[in-house]
Amino acid sequence: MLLVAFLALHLWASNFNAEWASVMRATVDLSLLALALFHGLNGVRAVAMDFGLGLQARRFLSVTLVMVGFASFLFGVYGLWPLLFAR
Amino acid sequence: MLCCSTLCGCSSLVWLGVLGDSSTLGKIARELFDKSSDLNPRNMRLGMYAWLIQRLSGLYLVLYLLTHITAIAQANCGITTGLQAQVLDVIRNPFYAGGSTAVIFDALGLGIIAFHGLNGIRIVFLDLGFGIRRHRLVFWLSMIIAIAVSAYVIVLGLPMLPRG
Repeated sequence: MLLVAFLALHLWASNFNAEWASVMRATVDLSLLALALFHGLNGVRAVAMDFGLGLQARRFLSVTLVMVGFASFLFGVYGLWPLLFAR
Repeated sequence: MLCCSTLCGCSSLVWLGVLGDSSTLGKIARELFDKSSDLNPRNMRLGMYAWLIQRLSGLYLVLYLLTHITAIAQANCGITTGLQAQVLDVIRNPFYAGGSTAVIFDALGLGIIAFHGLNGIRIVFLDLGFGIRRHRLVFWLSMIIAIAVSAYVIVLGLPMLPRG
């Protein structure tokens, strides 16, 4: 639910309202980034688990997805930085 | 960042080895073609199709999200040359007419996002115990809302398309 609300705010703010307060924008965009990444990668994990993986495979999958998630989050922050914080 | 990607590469190599050991592909084929399987089309009804499409669209949206993050970084940090920019250009221009917009890709993404989100809301309601007896009706209702939302966003976005 939070994801849907943030998604709507993100669409609105990034496309139809350039004059939004910068702090609010940063908050919404960064939380959307984190939430969407967690939701998506956790979904990938759930889909893979439904195929019945062993303990070792599960551990590698989880560790890999966590690292992909952190890397993507950092890359997303890097990409958003000029938009959010540059004057 | 470099350290992170190196670690990712190593663990994905090990991960490939683990996948090769178990017969995941054979399992999928059996799931699909066995007569008594839940995924055999003769056994599938509306809810199962919704479940399947929800999964597939979710997997697509993960790739879309990663592409989106990369594209935003490209736009904001000025990565406009090199292989990455070319790949993104092709991705965002299905008809590759040169310097055109990303209409098809974005419209497809919009529809899939609307489906995934509205169907997800329906699933939350079903988990909470609302509308279980009318889940077909609720499904089509949420699809109508998804189409309406997509249409609304398209109408809002139309003026932003470059003319000509």
